Amino acid sequence: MPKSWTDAVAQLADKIAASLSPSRLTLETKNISSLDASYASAVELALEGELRRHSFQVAPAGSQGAGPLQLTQLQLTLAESADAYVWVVEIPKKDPGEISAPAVIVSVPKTAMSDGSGVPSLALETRLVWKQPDRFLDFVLTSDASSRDPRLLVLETSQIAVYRPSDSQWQLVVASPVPQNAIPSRDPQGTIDLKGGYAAVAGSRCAGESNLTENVHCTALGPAAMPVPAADISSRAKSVGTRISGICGGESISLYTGEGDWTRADSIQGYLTKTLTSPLTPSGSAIQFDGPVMYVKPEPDASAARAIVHNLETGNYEAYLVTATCGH
Amino acid sequence: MRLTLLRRLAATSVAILCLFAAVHARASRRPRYGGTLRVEMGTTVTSVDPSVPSSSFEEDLARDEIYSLIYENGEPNADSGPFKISSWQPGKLLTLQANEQFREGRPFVDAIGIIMGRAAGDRILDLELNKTDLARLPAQEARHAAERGVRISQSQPDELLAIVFLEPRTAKVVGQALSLSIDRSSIVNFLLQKVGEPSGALLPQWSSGTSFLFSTSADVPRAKELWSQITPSRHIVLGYDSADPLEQSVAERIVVNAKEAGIPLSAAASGSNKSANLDARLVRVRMSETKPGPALNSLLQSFDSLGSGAFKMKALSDSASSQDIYNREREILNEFRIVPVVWLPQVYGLSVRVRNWTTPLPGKTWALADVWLDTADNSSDVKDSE
Repeated sequence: MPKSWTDAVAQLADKIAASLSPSRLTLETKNISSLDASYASAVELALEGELRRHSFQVAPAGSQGAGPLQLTQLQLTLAESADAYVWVVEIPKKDPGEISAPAVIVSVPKTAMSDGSGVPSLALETRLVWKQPDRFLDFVLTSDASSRDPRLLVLETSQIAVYRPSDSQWQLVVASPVPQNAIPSRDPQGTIDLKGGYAAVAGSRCAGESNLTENVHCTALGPAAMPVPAADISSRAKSVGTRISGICGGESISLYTGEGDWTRADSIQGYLTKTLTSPLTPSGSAIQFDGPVMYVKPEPDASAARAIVHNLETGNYEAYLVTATCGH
Repeated sequence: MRLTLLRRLAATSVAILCLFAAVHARASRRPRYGGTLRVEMGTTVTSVDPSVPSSSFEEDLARDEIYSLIYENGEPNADSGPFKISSWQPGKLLTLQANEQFREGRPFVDAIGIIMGRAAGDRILDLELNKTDLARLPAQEARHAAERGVRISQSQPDELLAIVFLEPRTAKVVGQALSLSIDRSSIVNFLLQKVGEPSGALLPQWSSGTSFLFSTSADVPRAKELWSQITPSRHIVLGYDSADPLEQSVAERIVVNAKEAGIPLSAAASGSNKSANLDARLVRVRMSETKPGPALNSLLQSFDSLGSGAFKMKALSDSASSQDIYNREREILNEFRIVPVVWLPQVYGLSVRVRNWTTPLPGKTWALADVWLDTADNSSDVKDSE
C-alpha cells in the first residue's frame, strides 16, 4: 500500500481507539468505491493490524459474542468523494436515542492505479514520462549531445521547453518561444523530429543544436510548412493511431485508440497486420487511460509510441511511452 | 521558365500536403469545423445586456450560459468570447457566430442558433425529429425521452430538492417527524422515473463520499411518535413554486406521506419568493463546486439567499477534512431546518451528430466552443438552419 494509505489507516485506528475502550470487536467491510477487491482487502487487513496494535481483539467477521465477551461490531465502508478515497468506520450508538451512530472518517487523495498486464501475443506497457496542466503536442526523451545527460523536450503551441532531471523530477532548463499565428487552432498539431533535426507546430519550424536541446530558434513559415504526419489509412476511421517499428509473428504492429470523442476515458489497443492493406487484428489487452488519447506518434527505432492523454479526472495532459512487446 | 517549374513544383507539394492532411483528417477522429448547432431552451431571455436585471432566477441562469458563449469567463468584454452575436430577437431567437479571433482558438461550429421559450414537450419532440441538436430536459422526462429514441446526456446528481423550514423553532421536532415520514424512494422511482437519488444529506455521495451515512428510509411509526409529542398539534403549510411541475408533484406526494404519519400538512402553490403564510418551502439548490468543502459552503450560501438565514455562519474552510465536512453536515441536519429529499441530475437531449459535448460540472457553463458536428453520421441529411 502507498505510504499515504498506511498513514490514513493508522489515523483511522487512532480515531476508533479514541472513541472505544479496548474490547473484542468484529470488522465488517463494504467497498462502494472504485477500488478493486485486492486493495479493499489490503486496507481491511491493515486496519485490523492497527486495531490490534491498540489492544483491540479482532474476531473474525460474523462471530457472535455474549455476556462479558460481548463483541462490538464495526462497519468499515470504503467510499470515495470527488477528489479522494474516503474510509468510514461506523461505531455502534452508545445511546439508542441518538439520531445517528458516530462515524470516524479519513480520506486519502486518489492515486492512479494502473495495470499494464497483457498475456496474449502483444503486451503493451506504459511509462508516464511527464504531465502538465497545459496542452502539449509532442514530447521526446533524448540526451544532450555533448554531456549525454538525459533531456526531455516538450512541444507546446507557444513554446518548446527543455527539461533535465533533478532530484527525480524534471527541471526546466530553457523554453524557446514559438511564433504565434494570428488565429490559433482549437485542434493544434505539432511534432518533434529529432532525426530531421526540427520541431514543427502550426506554421512554425524550430531548429537547434545538440538534439534540439540548445540554441533552439523558431521561425514562422506559414501554414504550408507544417509537416503532416504519415497517415495510417485503415479501417480504424474514428481512432488515432500509428504503425510502429517491430514485427510480431511476422506481422507489423500498430497501436490505435478507442473511438470515443474527447469527453471519455480511452484506451490503446495493439493490432497486428500482414500488409498495409490487410485488416488489423487486435492482439493482447488494451491499456486504459482516464481520458482521451489526443496524439499517438511512432517512437523512432523502437517498438513503441509516444501518446499524449488528457486525463479528465485531474485535468492534466500526460505523456506516455507505450511499448509493445511480442510474447508467446 | 525554370522559376515557373519550381513554382509549379512548390504548388504541387503544397497540394500533396493538403491532400495528405485531408486523408489524415478522414482517417482520424479529429474534430470537424463547420455547421450550425441548433439549441433550444425553455427559458425566455428578454435581454442579453448585462446591465439589465433578469426577471427570474431561471432567466439569470440562462443568461449566464449565453454570457459564457459571448464573453470570456462570463465577464462582459466585447468580442472576448468564443462566439459573437449575429442576430437577436428578444425572447425568441439568438444567433451567434464563431469568433475567428477567439484567444483559445476558433470554435468548431460556425454558428449557434438558440431558440427560447420552447416547452419541455416541444423540445423532446424536436430532438426526436432531429429539428434541434441540444436541449436541456426536465429530469423527470429523461426516461420518457430516451424511450422515444432521444440521445440523453446526464450529469452526476448536482441539484438538491429540499424542504426548508422558515421558522427555526418549528423545525426541530416538526422537521424531524416530517423527514421520517417521507418515502424518498417512491419519489425517485415514480415521480422521477428512477432518475436522481434519494437524499438524507446535504451533499451527494459522489462529492462527499459520506452521504450513505444519512438515512433516507421512512420510519412512519417513529414519525407518528414524534408528532404525538407536539402539543398543541398544528397545521403545517408547505409551499412550492407554482411554475415548477416537479416541485408540485413532489409536494403533493410529501403531503400524502405526512398524512400517513398523522401530520396535518397541506401544499400551497406560491411564487418563487418567500411567503408569510408558509411554514416551509420546497426549494431547488444547485451545487456550484465539485469538491465537498467548497460545495457545502456554496450550498449554505444558496440556502441563505432563499431567506433561511444564518447558514453562512456554518461555512468551513476550503481545506476542511472529510470528517469536518461530515460533522458540519450532521450538525446542520440535526437542526432539521433543512430536510433533504432527492438529488437531481442535469439532463440534456442531443442529436446524433453532436460530438465533444460534456454535461457541465457544477458551477460550469456549456462548453460549446469544443462541440463539433459529425455530419458524416446517419444524420447527414439534417439541414442546418442557416
